[in-house]
Amino acid sequence: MNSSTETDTSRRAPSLGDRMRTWVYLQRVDWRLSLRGIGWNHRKQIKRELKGNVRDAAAHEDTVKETLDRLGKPAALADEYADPAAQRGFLNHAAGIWALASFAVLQAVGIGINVGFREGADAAGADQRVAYAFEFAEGFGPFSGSYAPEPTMAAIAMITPAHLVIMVVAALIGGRIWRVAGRWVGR
Amino acid sequence: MAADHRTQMLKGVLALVLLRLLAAEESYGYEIVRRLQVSGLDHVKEGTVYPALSRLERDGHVSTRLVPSSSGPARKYYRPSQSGHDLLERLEASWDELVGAVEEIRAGQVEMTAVKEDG
Repeated sequence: MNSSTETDTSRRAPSLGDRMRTWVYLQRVDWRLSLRGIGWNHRKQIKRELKGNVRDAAAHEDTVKETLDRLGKPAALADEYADPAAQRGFLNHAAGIWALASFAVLQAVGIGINVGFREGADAAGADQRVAYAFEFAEGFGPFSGSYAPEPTMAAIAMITPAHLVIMVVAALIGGRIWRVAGRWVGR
Repeated sequence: MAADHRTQMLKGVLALVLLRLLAAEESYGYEIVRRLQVSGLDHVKEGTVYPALSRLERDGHVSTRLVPSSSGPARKYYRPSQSGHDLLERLEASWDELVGAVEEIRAGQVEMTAVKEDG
């Protein structure tokens, strides 16, 4: 059975138009799958399988267009593939990791700025406490601090409103907020 | 409308049907669709079968192997794993039970008087 199918399948090579049609369809499925929280590897696997099945079907009996029509609308097909467990909510470990990572990056940059500022102040011969601020608005953050040469003391604003905003944005990105939103708008 | 009902009913037993077909002979996606059609289930859509195969694989009920194809991407051949055989056994038992119960109802063998007495 298998060998005869191999032979049959090679009867017709898909035209450029058919390949394009298939590609566009698969991209639309891929997009819908991504909205439903399916990871890149799984999507790639699904696309590869669908591509092979479309080609097999088109080689046997139908045109590519008919085959794609029978597969249904990309959104409906993506729904069939979607694992309810994968359709996670926004609050998940990825959102937390992104929020923590953004906090760590902000702290690292803040310390870097403070160290740099301190070097600059020493080089300029500062003899009293000096302060700096790189902020979106006054008091908003994210980077502000001070340095006093005698006695040596450095201060950094570790948490500011800007920190919180950036962490929330990072959490939204990490939690793939567009996927959650896509369940409503992607239909 | 009748085809709609058939599609909905089949969805409930699709795993059973697929596992039974694959237990008889390993197959790849399109071939499985063809086998379903030849079996009389010609209204079954590819868009239902391929995701169902994907779910069976994800849940470990089928094992797969890739076979190179001269005309495109390698084909993925499916066959039931041990877990798939176990599931098939359970699904067939449930199916027999369900069909038996439905047949009894259809044949009018459920005595309303007995139900009323129980109540």
